[in-house]
Amino acid sequence: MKPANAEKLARVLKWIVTIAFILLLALLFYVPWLTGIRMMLSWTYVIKTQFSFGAVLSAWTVLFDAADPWRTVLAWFLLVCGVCGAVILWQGRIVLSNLAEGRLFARSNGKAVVRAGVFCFIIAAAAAVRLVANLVLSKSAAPLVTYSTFFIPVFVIAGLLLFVAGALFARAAELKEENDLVI
Amino acid sequence: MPIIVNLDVVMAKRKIGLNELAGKVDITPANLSVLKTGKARAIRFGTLEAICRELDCQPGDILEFRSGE
Repeated sequence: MKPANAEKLARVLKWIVTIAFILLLALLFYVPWLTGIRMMLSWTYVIKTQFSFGAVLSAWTVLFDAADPWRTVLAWFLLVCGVCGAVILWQGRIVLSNLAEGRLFARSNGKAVVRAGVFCFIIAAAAAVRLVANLVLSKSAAPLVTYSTFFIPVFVIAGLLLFVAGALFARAAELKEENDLVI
Repeated sequence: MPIIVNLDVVMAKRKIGLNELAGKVDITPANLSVLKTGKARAIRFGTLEAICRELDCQPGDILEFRSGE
Protein backbone atom coordinates (compact mmCIF):
# COMPACT_ATOMS: atom_id res chain seq x y z
CA MET A 1 0.00 0.00 0.00
CA LYS A 2 1.29 3.47 -0.89
CA PRO A 3 2.12 5.48 2.25
CA ALA A 4 -0.21 8.41 2.89
CA ASN A 5 1.13 11.98 2.98
CA ALA A 6 0.89 12.05 6.78
CA GLU A 7 3.07 8.94 6.99
CA LYS A 8 5.70 10.45 4.68
CA LEU A 9 5.66 13.66 6.71
CA ALA A 10 6.00 11.67 9.94
CA ARG A 11 9.03 9.86 8.51
CA VAL A 12 10.74 13.18 7.66
CA LEU A 13 9.84 14.63 11.06
CA LYS A 14 11.19 11.53 12.77
CA TRP A 15 14.59 12.12 11.19
CA ILE A 16 14.56 15.81 12.18
CA VAL A 17 13.62 14.89 15.76
CA THR A 18 16.36 12.22 15.85
CA ILE A 19 18.99 14.73 14.70
CA ALA A 20 17.74 17.29 17.26
CA PHE A 21 17.89 14.61 19.97
CA ILE A 22 21.52 13.70 19.12
CA LEU A 23 22.53 17.38 18.97
CA LEU A 24 20.85 18.03 22.32
CA LEU A 25 22.68 15.10 23.93
CA ALA A 26 25.99 16.44 22.57
CA LEU A 27 25.13 19.94 23.80
CA LEU A 28 24.37 18.62 27.30
CA PHE A 29 28.07 17.86 27.76
CA TYR A 30 28.84 21.58 27.22
CA VAL A 31 26.14 22.95 29.55
CA PRO A 32 28.35 23.77 32.58
CA TRP A 33 30.96 25.27 30.26
CA LEU A 34 28.34 27.35 28.42
CA THR A 35 27.22 28.94 31.69
CA GLY A 36 30.65 30.57 31.99
CA ILE A 37 30.73 32.17 28.54
CA ARG A 38 29.20 35.49 29.57
CA MET A 39 32.13 36.03 31.92
CA MET A 40 34.66 35.63 29.13
CA LEU A 41 36.01 38.38 26.92
CA SER A 42 35.04 37.35 23.39
CA TRP A 43 34.27 34.36 21.20
CA THR A 44 37.86 34.45 19.85
CA TYR A 45 39.09 34.16 23.40
CA VAL A 46 36.60 31.38 24.09
CA ILE A 47 37.60 29.35 21.03
CA LYS A 48 41.38 29.85 21.37
CA THR A 49 41.83 29.31 25.06
CA GLN A 50 38.77 27.75 26.62
CA PHE A 51 37.29 25.41 24.03
CA SER A 52 39.41 22.43 24.92
CA PHE A 53 38.16 19.06 26.15
CA GLY A 54 39.89 19.62 29.51
CA ALA A 55 38.33 23.03 29.99
CA VAL A 56 34.86 21.72 29.13
CA LEU A 57 35.31 18.74 31.45
CA SER A 58 36.64 20.80 34.35
CA ALA A 59 33.65 23.17 33.97
CA TRP A 60 31.46 20.36 35.39
CA THR A 61 32.77 21.26 38.87
CA VAL A 62 30.53 24.34 38.62
CA LEU A 63 27.59 22.07 39.60
CA PHE A 64 29.00 21.90 43.13
CA ASP A 65 30.72 25.30 43.24
CA ALA A 66 29.47 27.23 46.29
CA ALA A 67 31.62 30.24 45.35
CA ASP A 68 29.47 31.08 42.31
CA PRO A 69 25.89 30.16 43.26
CA TRP A 70 24.32 32.03 40.28
CA ARG A 71 26.28 29.96 37.82
CA THR A 72 25.66 26.75 39.80
CA VAL A 73 21.88 27.34 39.78
CA LEU A 74 21.95 28.17 36.05
CA ALA A 75 24.02 25.06 35.27
CA TRP A 76 21.65 22.76 37.20
CA PHE A 77 18.62 24.43 35.59
CA LEU A 78 19.99 24.07 32.05
CA LEU A 79 21.06 20.49 32.74
CA VAL A 80 17.59 19.49 34.01
CA CYS A 81 15.94 21.30 31.08
CA GLY A 82 18.34 19.60 28.65
CA VAL A 83 17.70 16.10 30.02
CA CYS A 84 13.92 16.68 30.10
CA GLY A 85 14.05 18.15 26.58
CA ALA A 86 15.90 15.05 25.37
CA VAL A 87 13.28 12.77 26.96
CA ILE A 88 10.46 14.83 25.39
CA LEU A 89 12.14 14.61 21.97
CA TRP A 90 12.48 10.84 22.38
CA GLN A 91 8.76 10.54 23.19
CA GLY A 92 8.04 12.59 20.07
CA ARG A 93 10.21 10.15 18.12
CA ILE A 94 8.17 7.20 19.46
CA VAL A 95 4.89 8.83 18.34
CA LEU A 96 6.33 9.75 14.93
CA SER A 97 7.67 6.19 14.46
CA ASN A 98 4.19 4.82 15.08
CA LEU A 99 2.63 7.37 12.70
CA ALA A 100 5.24 6.59 10.01
CA GLU A 101 4.29 2.91 10.22
CA GLY A 102 0.59 3.75 9.99
CA ARG A 103 -0.17 2.90 13.62
CA LEU A 104 -2.15 6.03 14.44
CA PHE A 105 -4.10 4.52 17.31
CA ALA A 106 -1.40 2.57 19.15
CA ARG A 107 -1.55 2.56 22.96
CA SER A 108 2.16 3.46 23.09
CA ASN A 109 1.31 6.84 21.49
CA GLY A 110 -0.85 7.80 24.46
CA LYS A 111 1.76 6.65 26.97
CA ALA A 112 4.55 8.55 25.17
CA VAL A 113 2.51 11.77 25.06
CA VAL A 114 1.66 11.52 28.79
CA ARG A 115 5.36 10.85 29.58
CA ALA A 116 6.30 14.00 27.60
CA GLY A 117 3.72 15.90 29.70
CA VAL A 118 5.32 14.68 32.94
CA PHE A 119 8.71 15.97 31.77
CA CYS A 120 7.14 19.34 30.87
CA PHE A 121 6.01 19.57 34.51
CA ILE A 122 9.57 18.74 35.64
CA ILE A 123 10.90 21.64 33.52
CA ALA A 124 8.28 23.94 35.06
CA ALA A 125 9.31 22.74 38.54
CA ALA A 126 13.00 23.33 37.72
CA ALA A 127 12.15 26.85 36.55
CA ALA A 128 10.23 27.46 39.79
CA VAL A 129 13.18 26.24 41.88
CA ARG A 130 15.55 28.46 39.89
CA LEU A 131 13.24 31.43 40.36
CA VAL A 132 13.11 30.91 44.14
CA ALA A 133 16.90 30.42 44.30
CA ASN A 134 17.48 33.61 42.29
CA LEU A 135 15.02 35.55 44.45
CA VAL A 136 16.92 34.43 47.56
CA LEU A 137 20.32 35.16 46.00
CA SER A 138 19.40 38.60 44.64
CA LYS A 139 17.21 39.60 47.61
CA SER A 140 15.07 41.54 45.12
CA ALA A 141 12.12 41.00 42.79
CA ALA A 142 14.30 41.33 39.66
CA PRO A 143 14.36 37.58 38.83
CA LEU A 144 10.56 37.73 38.41
CA VAL A 145 11.06 39.30 34.98
CA THR A 146 13.39 36.67 33.50
CA TYR A 147 12.74 33.93 30.94
CA SER A 148 12.75 31.19 33.58
CA THR A 149 9.69 32.81 35.22
CA PHE A 150 8.01 32.69 31.82
CA PHE A 151 8.93 28.98 31.61
CA ILE A 152 6.67 28.07 34.58
CA PRO A 153 3.20 28.83 33.09
CA VAL A 154 4.27 27.85 29.56
CA PHE A 155 5.46 24.38 30.56
CA VAL A 156 2.59 23.80 33.01
CA ILE A 157 0.10 24.56 30.21
CA ALA A 158 2.12 22.42 27.75
CA GLY A 159 2.14 19.55 30.28
CA LEU A 160 -1.63 19.81 30.81
CA LEU A 161 -2.27 19.89 27.05
CA LEU A 162 -0.07 16.82 26.59
CA PHE A 163 -1.98 15.02 29.37
CA VAL A 164 -5.27 15.76 27.56
CA ALA A 165 -3.75 14.67 24.22
CA GLY A 166 -2.44 11.48 25.86
CA ALA A 167 -5.91 10.68 27.25
CA LEU A 168 -7.40 11.25 23.76
CA PHE A 169 -4.80 8.93 22.19
CA ALA A 170 -5.55 6.25 24.82
CA ARG A 171 -9.32 6.55 24.20
CA ALA A 172 -8.77 6.38 20.42
CA ALA A 173 -6.66 3.22 20.87
CA GLU A 174 -9.45 1.66 23.01
CA LEU A 175 -12.09 2.51 20.38
CA LYS A 176 -9.92 1.05 17.62
CA GLU A 177 -9.40 -2.19 19.57
CA GLU A 178 -13.18 -2.36 20.13
CA ASN A 179 -13.86 -1.68 16.46
CA ASP A 180 -11.37 -4.37 15.39
CA LEU A 181 -13.44 -6.93 17.33
CA VAL A 182 -16.70 -6.01 15.57
CA ILE A 183 -17.11 -8.57 12.79
CA MET B 1 -19.36 -13.07 28.36
CA PRO B 2 -22.63 -15.06 28.61
CA ILE B 3 -23.14 -14.97 24.82
CA ILE B 4 -21.68 -18.15 23.34
CA VAL B 5 -20.81 -18.40 19.65
CA ASN B 6 -21.58 -21.87 18.27
CA LEU B 7 -20.33 -21.12 14.78
CA ASP B 8 -17.80 -23.98 14.90
CA VAL B 9 -20.59 -26.49 15.69
CA VAL B 10 -22.78 -25.28 12.81
CA MET B 11 -19.77 -25.24 10.45
CA ALA B 12 -18.90 -28.81 11.43
CA LYS B 13 -22.50 -29.92 10.82
CA ARG B 14 -22.48 -28.29 7.37
CA LYS B 15 -18.94 -29.64 6.71
CA ILE B 16 -17.64 -26.24 5.63
CA GLY B 17 -14.16 -24.89 6.29
CA LEU B 18 -13.15 -21.49 7.65
CA ASN B 19 -11.61 -20.20 4.43
CA GLU B 20 -14.54 -21.39 2.31
CA LEU B 21 -17.12 -19.73 4.56
CA ALA B 22 -15.02 -16.56 4.81
CA GLY B 23 -14.95 -16.36 1.00
CA LYS B 24 -18.72 -16.91 0.75
CA VAL B 25 -19.67 -14.28 3.37
CA ASP B 26 -17.00 -11.88 2.10
CA ILE B 27 -15.01 -11.35 5.31
CA THR B 28 -11.38 -12.19 6.02
CA PRO B 29 -10.54 -15.64 7.48
CA ALA B 30 -8.83 -13.79 10.37
CA ASN B 31 -12.07 -11.98 11.26
CA LEU B 32 -14.12 -15.16 10.90
CA SER B 33 -11.64 -16.90 13.20
CA VAL B 34 -12.12 -14.12 15.80
CA LEU B 35 -15.88 -14.73 15.60
CA LYS B 36 -15.52 -18.53 15.71
CA THR B 37 -13.29 -18.50 18.78
CA GLY B 38 -15.66 -16.21 20.68
CA LYS B 39 -13.25 -13.26 20.87
CA ALA B 40 -15.54 -10.88 18.96
CA ARG B 41 -17.21 -8.02 20.86
CA ALA B 42 -20.05 -7.58 18.38
CA ILE B 43 -21.40 -8.88 15.08
CA ARG B 44 -22.95 -6.76 12.34
CA PHE B 45 -26.43 -7.74 11.13
CA GLY B 46 -25.00 -7.89 7.61
CA THR B 47 -22.38 -10.45 8.63
CA LEU B 48 -24.92 -12.50 10.61
CA GLU B 49 -27.32 -12.45 7.69
CA ALA B 50 -24.60 -13.65 5.27
CA ILE B 51 -23.49 -16.45 7.63
CA CYS B 52 -27.09 -17.62 8.20
CA ARG B 53 -27.74 -17.58 4.44
CA GLU B 54 -24.60 -19.60 3.64
CA LEU B 55 -25.03 -22.08 6.49
CA ASP B 56 -28.81 -22.25 6.05
CA CYS B 57 -29.48 -21.71 9.74
CA GLN B 58 -31.05 -19.23 12.20
CA PRO B 59 -29.12 -16.64 14.28
CA GLY B 60 -30.10 -18.66 17.35
CA ASP B 61 -28.16 -21.64 16.00
CA ILE B 62 -24.98 -19.56 15.98
CA LEU B 63 -25.50 -17.43 19.09
CA GLU B 64 -26.59 -18.73 22.48
CA PHE B 65 -27.19 -17.01 25.83
CA ARG B 66 -25.97 -18.83 28.93
CA SER B 67 -26.51 -17.03 32.24
CA GLY B 68 -23.87 -17.08 34.95
CA GLU B 69 -20.85 -17.50 32.65
